[in-house]
Amino acid sequence: MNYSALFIQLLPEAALVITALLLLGVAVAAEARTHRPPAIDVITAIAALGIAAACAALYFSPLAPASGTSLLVTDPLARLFKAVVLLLGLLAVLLPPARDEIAQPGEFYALLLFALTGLLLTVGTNHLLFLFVALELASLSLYLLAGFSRTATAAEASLKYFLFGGVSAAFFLFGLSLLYGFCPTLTLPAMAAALTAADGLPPLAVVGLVMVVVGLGFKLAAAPFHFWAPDVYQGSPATSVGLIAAASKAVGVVVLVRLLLMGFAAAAGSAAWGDLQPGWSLWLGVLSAVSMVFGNVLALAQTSVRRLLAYSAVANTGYLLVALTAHGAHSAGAALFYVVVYGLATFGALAVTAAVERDCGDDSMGSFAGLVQRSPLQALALLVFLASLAGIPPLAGFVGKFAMFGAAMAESTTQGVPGLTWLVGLAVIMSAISLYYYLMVLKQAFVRSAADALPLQLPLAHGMAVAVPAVLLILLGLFPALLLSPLTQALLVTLGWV
Amino acid sequence: MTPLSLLLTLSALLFSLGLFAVLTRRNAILILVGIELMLNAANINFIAFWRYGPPDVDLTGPLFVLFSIAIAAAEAAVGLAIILMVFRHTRSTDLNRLDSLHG
Repeated sequence: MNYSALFIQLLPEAALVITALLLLGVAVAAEARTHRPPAIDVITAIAALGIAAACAALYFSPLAPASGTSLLVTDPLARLFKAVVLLLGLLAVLLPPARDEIAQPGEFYALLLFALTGLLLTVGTNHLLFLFVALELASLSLYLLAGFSRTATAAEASLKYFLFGGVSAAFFLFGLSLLYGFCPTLTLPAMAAALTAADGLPPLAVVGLVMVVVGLGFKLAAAPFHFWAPDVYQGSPATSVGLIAAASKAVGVVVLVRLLLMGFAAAAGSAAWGDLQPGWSLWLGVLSAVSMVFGNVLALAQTSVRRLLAYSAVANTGYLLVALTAHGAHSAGAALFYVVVYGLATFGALAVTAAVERDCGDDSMGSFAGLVQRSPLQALALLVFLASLAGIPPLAGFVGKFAMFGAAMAESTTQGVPGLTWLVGLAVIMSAISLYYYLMVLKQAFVRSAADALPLQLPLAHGMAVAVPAVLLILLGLFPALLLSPLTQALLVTLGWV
Repeated sequence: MTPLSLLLTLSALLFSLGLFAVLTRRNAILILVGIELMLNAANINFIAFWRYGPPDVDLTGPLFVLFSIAIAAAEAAVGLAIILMVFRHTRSTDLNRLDSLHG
């Protein structure tokens, strides 16, 4: 084992951890000298520099060939998603918390960096023990981030997130223990080999796989494991919600893709109409349908924009699972593209909501009234985010949905009959319904006039946290190949399907 | 019954007991106890499969148990901190009284 090579491979994570420790040191030193927590601007600047350093380390880190251990892999898929997670983390750091919301900024941003470290490690491993440890590092940090505010609502949201998360971690671990009985090596390539040798999964391993998928379903906020999402989205600080909604979800999709396509591709079964075969594809199909229906129907009744975004998160998980149900390389590549686009759009919408909240005090639809007069650029950005979530061309959300559903139809076609028509049809109908609630918000922002048309003042950092996702969404909508083909290519290389 | 199936039955019972506690209790601390039971049920599985299952030269199972015990401890610490924070606001750990978020 060459430790210096290992260190170079782990340089991005090391940069994040060192910065986090530095932040804790700064917090302690400031408390000792002035008996007050350090200024939040200093802390966010250090955190942003740390993430930038991690980005640089990632860019210069070598693309190591898959080593024998699978413990730490730097395949193209891992690299691309590490970059995505770092970008979303940087945006979350730029988004300033509401006034006096965060009492101890040093600890808050240190935890944020620990969460990012956990997420980075999660996307870069093929070993299930390492995956569990990295996922728990991210989750435990995120539970605390969700409650890191003085309000009672944040505490309540954090407790609910923790209790649901704890149960799902227990399901995940129990599932892993049953898979261990099937293949003692616990690496995904070994699982795939054992699966081929055993000619199908034994019943205990099937139960194990179901429980692992349930554990990941919680991370992705798939119905019926979504009950924490609305409360967390509504009660927690915007910075934490941005991280949970965008980065944690993207990582969940990568883990699901790795686990199911690399480890258990042979046990996929089929969700095609008329050719149903037991396997994880069928379960994902059911989860997907339930998530789309639940998320969209419940979103229709919301008056709080944050809760609306939470139910839209459930619905979007459903769309993502449509593509994974098809379990082909192109649909999975499109799902990876869509989760990035979705993360940017949701993060941006949350950032605009945070700006409105900062001014009006709450996130009800009425607070958005007359946004176009108060801040035309914010209103325009909101239009981009919500139109992308609804899937209106030429924005990136449309391209993502089109690529996912098109690939799902093409890959499930046998003898000229596309087998997943039932699921894709449902997804298209549900997308059309979702347009209604996104337009409700836009109607407030563009049609209604404000009670007082005072201009909305924003700090520069907050403006950037809104502008960067909006520009990226337009760019990726016009030139989707910039991200879609590298992702599909990376997936093919990672899975060894080329 | 073989030792392996006995141990797997035990762990399944323990897991179900934990899940039952999680679903029926309304006190946050007792739910945390239920979660710990579920995590420990998985640990029994790892050791049982390591001892009686297919041969495992890398000791993945016992290693996994060591890690999962440490993670369960960290989870309990985080959980109790969050419960304490909630208690400061509401003077209660009863989940039925946590209803400020709904819609």
